Amino acid sequence: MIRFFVGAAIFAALVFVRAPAAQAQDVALTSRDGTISVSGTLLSFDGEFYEVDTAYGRLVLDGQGVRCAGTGCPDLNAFVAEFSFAGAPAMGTALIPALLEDFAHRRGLRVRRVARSDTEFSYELRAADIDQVEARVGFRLHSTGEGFADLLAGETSIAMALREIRADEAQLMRDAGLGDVTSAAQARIVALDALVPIVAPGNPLRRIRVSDLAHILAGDITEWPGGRGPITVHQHARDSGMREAIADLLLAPIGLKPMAAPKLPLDHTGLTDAVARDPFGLSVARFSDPGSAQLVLLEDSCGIALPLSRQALKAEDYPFTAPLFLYLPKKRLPLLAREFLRYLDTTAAQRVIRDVGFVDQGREQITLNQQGERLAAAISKIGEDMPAPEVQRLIETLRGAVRLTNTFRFRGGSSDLDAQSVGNVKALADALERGEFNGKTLVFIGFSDGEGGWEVNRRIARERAEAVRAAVRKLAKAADFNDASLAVEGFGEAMPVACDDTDWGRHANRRVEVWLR
Amino acid sequence: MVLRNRLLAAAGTLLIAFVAGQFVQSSDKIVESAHKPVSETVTPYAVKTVVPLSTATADVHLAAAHVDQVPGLPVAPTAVRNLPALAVQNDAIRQRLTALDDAQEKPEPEGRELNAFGQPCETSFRAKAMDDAMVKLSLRATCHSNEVVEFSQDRLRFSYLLPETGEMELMVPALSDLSVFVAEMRNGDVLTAPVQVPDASLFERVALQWRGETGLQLHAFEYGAAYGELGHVWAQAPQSGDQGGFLTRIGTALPLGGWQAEVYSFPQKTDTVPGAVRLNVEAEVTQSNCNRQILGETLQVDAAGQMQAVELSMSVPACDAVGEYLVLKNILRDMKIAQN
Repeated sequence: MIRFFVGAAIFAALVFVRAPAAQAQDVALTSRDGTISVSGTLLSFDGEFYEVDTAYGRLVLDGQGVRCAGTGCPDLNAFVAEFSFAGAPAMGTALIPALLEDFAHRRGLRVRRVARSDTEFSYELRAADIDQVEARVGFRLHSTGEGFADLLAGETSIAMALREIRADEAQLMRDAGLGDVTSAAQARIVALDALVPIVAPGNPLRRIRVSDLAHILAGDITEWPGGRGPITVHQHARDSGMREAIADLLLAPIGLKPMAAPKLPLDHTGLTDAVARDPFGLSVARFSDPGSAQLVLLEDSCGIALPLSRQALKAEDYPFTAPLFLYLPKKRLPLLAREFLRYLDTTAAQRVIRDVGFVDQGREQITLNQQGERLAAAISKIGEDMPAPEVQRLIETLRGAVRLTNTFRFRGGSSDLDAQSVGNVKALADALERGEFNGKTLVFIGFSDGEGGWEVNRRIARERAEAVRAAVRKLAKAADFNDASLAVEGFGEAMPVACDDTDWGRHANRRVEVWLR
Repeated sequence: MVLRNRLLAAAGTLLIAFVAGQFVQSSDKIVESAHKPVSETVTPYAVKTVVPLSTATADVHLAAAHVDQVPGLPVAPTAVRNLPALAVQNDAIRQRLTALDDAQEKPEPEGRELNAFGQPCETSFRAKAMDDAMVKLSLRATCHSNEVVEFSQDRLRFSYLLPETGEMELMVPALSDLSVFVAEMRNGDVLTAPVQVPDASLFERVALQWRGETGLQLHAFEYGAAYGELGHVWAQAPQSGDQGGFLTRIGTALPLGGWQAEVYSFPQKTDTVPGAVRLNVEAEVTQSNCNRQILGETLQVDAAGQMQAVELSMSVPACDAVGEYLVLKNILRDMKIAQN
């Protein structure tokens, strides 16, 4: 029944304009000056563009440039923009609704939420003075995978995902004519989140090794240290994206499997509240919503605390950072939906993202002083892996410069940028075009993991930095590189983010940082 | 939608409603008894005084005859309709005489008119900042007794019936440092009362408001509290511990659907513990809302610090679910309590 209703709403969204009758919609579109006229059958109208089947084939015409005459013309005043979101509850519970509400309020629209349940609801946006719905935005929250399935089935306009789409899922989308959903035009990161262990507020635990956490989650370690009693592991539901992410990121790398899923699972909120009440409890939560529980820092195998902060998530220096994605089909969305997507890049949207607890993607600067632990790590490399002059050269390069949070990392062992980094290329290119770095130098500094000799690593790191610089330069077509110069450096395994003895540690270390001088 | 059966809570509601009903009834009696003597003592006086003077019209002759026949009975309403036409020179006396007769159509109060008790029509509306960023509103509108007054503060709305005395005092949470309260009378008159509330910024507030009988309730769960525990704050447990917040219910249910609101306030103190307050919107399924679409409005501060309103529409299950609760956890965003 519910499914049927949603399907019906989406069908309406796909058609955009419900014709008064099913017969051919004859329209004649004439340019404002009356010189050009095209007639045919109206295929769709999205509030901005007419798509017409004409004797010349399918034409898309900007509604602002033409007048419409004929029985098939849409009622411009009665047009209702309809689109919908489906997928991860982590995004659909607070984040996207808060953004949509803010977007609507900024446009002076009245907002009504029609709640069928906590997981099925819609928003009606109305002009403040007249009681006419301008847009209807549906929400369906179940899981990331179900969101992709809805997108594939044409049951939603936009999928909300806690992870990147898998290759096989992307292939299905291509086969279904939805285009390349992995392309920058169809996939976008809205905000950042991360996996973080949590305990009750009174629990003295402040730091835990990643491997110890994994063994607790797998059921191998069952007692708190110092005979403080048994550990209660509060687990996520079997079909939750969190359970998947914990298994993939924390357990699988060391060959562990999670314990059996709980019989009476709680949602994320319920889980964090349960941990907050349980002095013996432990779980893994999202950084955006630890509830009333206490966050615990992760330590790598060398005992270094992994940096957990807004900047660390933006720079992906925290290895368990998880970007939150929106995936769009290739088809044109209604004007209001496209304007909402554009709004997501504004500073107003970034403020909403931070306000609801997530990490936005606005660029920040990290001073050298804020990176004391990393510098100490660099110095500790002297002699062991690297010659002293090399470390001195690094410190000389960084002195007086600030690091930008835009950092570039690579998929697996490849030279392909990961999703967050692809977004960073565009963000830096846009900033260069706006002249944001005029009179300054951007230094792309490559770093590597510690596998292999330092000279080889330095060369590989420098090559990666050059590749990133080339990608940024290519995208920043309108930038004047006389005003802002782009330099390149390579320092191999100096200044590691984490120990090299795990996959995620090596991945975190293979990176290109951007420093501003 | 989650339907929660809370027989115990429902029983509690009934008990409290019963006690409250008793209280309302007895207080009604007090009002009545305070009122009755006035009319009882006044009516004969009105008859006696009016009749000898009212020789000018046929109506009054009838009335006079009538009264003569059965002395001591109240005068028929039509008999004194034309009272203003009488040759009474003193306006004030005329008004007082008119006012004393219950059957008399009262003139619309304007200017220096008098009310039913012969007091001059006066309006004043004052707001005074109190503890906990609460504001004491004092409304005096002597010629608006028994009228519905619609109060508002920013987007928050609440209605009350002005008592017979034309005076009332309310305690209302302030939504901002400079709060402007508005009282709108039935005749469209608008009174405003601005007030500075220095500690308003130390309280985070969220509100749920509605009109008429919706069964809507606001529930706050502080620091992971469960139903019925300390830290579960709602209309029937409006206060939590020293560290917690409180709930204020304002407005009354009126026959024509007055505005009611529940406001939850959480104080930011120097020793405030970081954590989260989960906020539920719930609706008790009752005979008056079952199988209906109900409307409410939530008020929550946005990222820019502005109080924003979002209308809420939900369908209440069929009437065989009466006594159960509709629970929505995701309508209001959680309050995140940061360390000071």
